Parts: sequence; C-alpha cells; structure tokens
Amino acid sequence: MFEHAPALVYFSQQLLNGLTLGAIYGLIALGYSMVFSILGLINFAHGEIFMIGGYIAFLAVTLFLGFGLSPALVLLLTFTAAIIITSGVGFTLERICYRPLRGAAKLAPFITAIGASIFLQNAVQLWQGSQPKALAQFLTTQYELFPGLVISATQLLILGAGGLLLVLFTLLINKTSFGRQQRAVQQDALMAGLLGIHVNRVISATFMLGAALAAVAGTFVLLYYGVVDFTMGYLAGMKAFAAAVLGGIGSLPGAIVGGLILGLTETFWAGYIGADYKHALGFFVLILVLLLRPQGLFGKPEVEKV
Amino acid sequence: MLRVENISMRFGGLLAVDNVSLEAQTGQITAVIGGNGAGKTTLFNCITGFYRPTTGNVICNGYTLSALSRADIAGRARVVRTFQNIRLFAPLTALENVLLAEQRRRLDFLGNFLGLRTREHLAAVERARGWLHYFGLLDVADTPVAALSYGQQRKVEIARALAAEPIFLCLDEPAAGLNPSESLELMHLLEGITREHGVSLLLIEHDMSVVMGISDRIIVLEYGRKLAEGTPADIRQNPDVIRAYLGADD
Repeated sequence: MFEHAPALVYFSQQLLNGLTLGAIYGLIALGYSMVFSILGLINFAHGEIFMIGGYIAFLAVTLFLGFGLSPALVLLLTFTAAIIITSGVGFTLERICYRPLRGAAKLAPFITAIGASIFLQNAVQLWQGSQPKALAQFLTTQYELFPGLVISATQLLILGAGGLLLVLFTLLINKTSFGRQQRAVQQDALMAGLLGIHVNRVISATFMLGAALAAVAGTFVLLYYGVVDFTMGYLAGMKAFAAAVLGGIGSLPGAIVGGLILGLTETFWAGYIGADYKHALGFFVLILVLLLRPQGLFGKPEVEKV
Repeated sequence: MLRVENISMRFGGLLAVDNVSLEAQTGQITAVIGGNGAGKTTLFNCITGFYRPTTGNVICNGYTLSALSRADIAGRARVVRTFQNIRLFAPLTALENVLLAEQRRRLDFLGNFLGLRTREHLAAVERARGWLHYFGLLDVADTPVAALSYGQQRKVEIARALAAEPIFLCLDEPAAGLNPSESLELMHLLEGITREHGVSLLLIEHDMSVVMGISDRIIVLEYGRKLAEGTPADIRQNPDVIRAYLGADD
C-alpha cells in the first residue's frame, strides 16, 4: 500500500525522525523538571551536562573501538561510562554550586547556574579543543521498512532504549522507596527531614539521575548525528527547557510529552515548510502554549498562598 | 529520658521562653499546657530541634539535639514531631506516607526496583499496615491522603511519625480541630501508644481537660516560664494554676 502513496511514506518518515528527536529532548527535559520540582531551581547548566555526556560517549566509543571490540560491547561500555562519569559531574555540580546556596535568595543559585554553564562550556573547550568531534563510521546500518521509508540502527536504538528508559524512570519515581522519598522532599522538604529522610542525599540522587538521563541523550545525539561540539549544550538545553515548560515544569510526564511535541513540530516544520526558522519554532510553540495555558500542559496552576 | 536544660528563646526584644527545664520520662506521657502565648509551641520547637534555642540544651538518647541535623534528630536522637497544622505529603497515599518514615534509612534504587518484593520491603509494608490498623485506617490505606477527612489525616500523621520509630513522639496539639468524641477517641489511642507500644509521648495542649486523663506528668507554662509541674492531681489542686489558668470562679 505504501508504494502507491509517497505522501504517506514521507509523512511516516518525518514522524519517525520527529519521535527520535523528541525522545532526546524528553530525556533532557526530565532533568530540568526533576530538579525544578525538588529545588524550585532552573538548572541552566543542565544543557552542559548533556554536552559532557556526549563528549564522554565520543571518547569512550573511540577508545573501545580502538580495542577492536564488537559494536554491541562498545555500545554497552559507552553508555556505562557516559552515565557513571556524567552522574559524577551532576553530583559535583550540585555539591559545589547549589548546596552552599540552600536557603539563599532565589536569584543566587539561578545566577550560579548560568555561571556554571559558562564554566563547563569553556572547560570542555580547553580540554577537547574548539573543533567539533566527528565520530568514525559506527552503527550506520539502515533498514528500509518500505521503499522510501528508512529507519537507521541508531533510530531503533533511540526509540527502543529511550522508550524503555522513560518507562523505567516512571516506575522508579512511582513505585520505589527512592521515588517516594523524592516525591516527599518535593512536597515538603522540612517535614521529610523531620521524619529522618536525608534530604540532601535525595537531592544529590536527583541531580545524578537527571545527569544520567542527559548522558544517555548525549550519547544518542553522538550516535545519531555523528558529531559533538562544546556549544551543543546551549541550544539543546534551551529547547529541552522549553519542552519542560511546555509540558508543565515540575511534571515528569509533562517533560516527556513536551519533548515529543517539540521534536515532532520541529521535524514536520523542516520536512514540509523548510529548515529556516526550525530552531525558533520550538520557542514559538512555547509562547503559544504559555499564552493559552500558563502552567503548561500537565502543570497545576500555581495557587497564591495568602 | 528527654532532658530539657535551661532553655531560653529570644526573638528580638521578646523572651518567648524563659529558662525552662523539664524532664520527660521514658515510658510515660508528659504534657505541656498553657494558654495562648504561654510559649508552648516555641518551647516545643526548641525541644524538637526546629529552633536553635538562645541558651540551653535538649538531650535525648545520649545526643544533644542542637548539634544534630534534622534527619539525625529523628534517626539518632529518635525524637519525632508533628505540627499543629497537618503536614502530610498530600498526593501520596496513606500507606505511602507511613512507608516513607518506615524506610527512611534506605535510599534504595536497585533493591526495591529490581526485586520489587524483597523481604525487607514486605516487612516494612507489614509494619506500616500495622500502624494504620492501630488507627483504624486500613481501609483507606491506598487512598491519597488529600481525600481523607481531617480526623483521619491527623491519625495518618501520627501513624507516620510512629513509623519513624521514635523513643519520644512529640505532638503539637493533636486534638486541635477534632470534635469532642474524635478527641476522646484519639486520646485513648495515644494512651495505647505509650502503655502498649512503649513509645513515650510529649504532648502540647491548651485544653487541659483533654490531657488530664492520660498524662503521667504535666508541666504548666505561663508567659514563657514554668508555673507548675506535677501529676494531674497535683496540678488540679495547685493554687497558682487554678488562679492563672483554670480561672477562679469569683
């Protein structure tokens, strides 16, 4: 049936590409939303955490391919390395930049986040140079589902692993004792502390978890586009932030749905209208949603306490 | 034993608590009573480490509370408190609220995640359900607490505090907002917590009649100072208390 409907094939291809991009945005957006829900802080350095995840993945793939390991093993080791090291960066970021400012005026950690973002970007530039890093041929197999409809091995991985991760993450927050503690601290950190919950540990774990998801997103981007550069955290971070706000910041399903909406809108815009203004479009959608529904799609309206 | 040594608390020019000492014995119910502005809640906040007193110490289970973090006050000194207004985690169910205190020590990613039914987890759920059962809340265990009645929420809050395994459970006006029959029922339950389950209680109450029947020892505060201390019978006959608090009939 597809052979006779090139328009449908084209649409399906755009849908596939859009979902892939959306899954990546969603993974990053979750980190913004989690940190916001627990600390009320927009962690503007989160885009850089994602970028660092991409760099670690690049170094890991290059290193492990050099050993002549099988692609599956390289992938496994790369994800492991990216997740562990990037979570460490997330932990350190919270420890050094945000924890000392707990209880300070809201603006202080916000400014610190912007500072941390600039610092991390420049640190990676010094460390890895200002040229983008391109990956050698890796995981470039493509499967033709129908004539004209192509899915790459990377896309399969992103959709499969990304989807699985989002499900696991939802279970983690809703079903485990860690998730329960996380939701409690988010509600009332003071009371949680008085019940004996180690609030700072929960916050550290939240940062590490957000960083781990960002590391997976960074690895996906490396595999999908084959290239990383030290400024990539800025735009991706801004868009993921837009996705989190779009879905309702603080809402985890909202972050995922916001990411998917943004990914699909961008891809369809580029596929049907043209690549111009592709990057601006996400923010245009954000403005529209905020005009009509200021709390975002899944957010609860803020109640002014009197 | 929970020992309060020479606590004073000053807010700017106001001395809210003035050099109060008291001892609450393990295995007993101790009540602090006083009228509005007598300094009960301030003293309570100092005792539970919520405020850092201007002078004085609070010692429980071998720890000086002012030196501990909030989590360690519950975990090491084993003093747990509730507030006058209910502070439950509203979107969580009654069982989840209680489980939270039950499993506070473990920040469990994998164990609970992979083996969703570990023995430890099941035991924790069992203990949490036990407390809910004690307060007659088993049938609403899986209801989000925001949907429960005020009286039920109050009981969930006390069940949750008990799940943190305190030596001393400090309750700030537990009967506030309850009608007389609910209040009476709650006092019976509180009595059982100490007499049957061995958890010591420190209560704050402004309505003396509520605690008179169950307390082993009563401390009366007035204007931030200790006015009297003794058994309920002593307090009932204490002329200072009658004058200042119960009010003379003349």
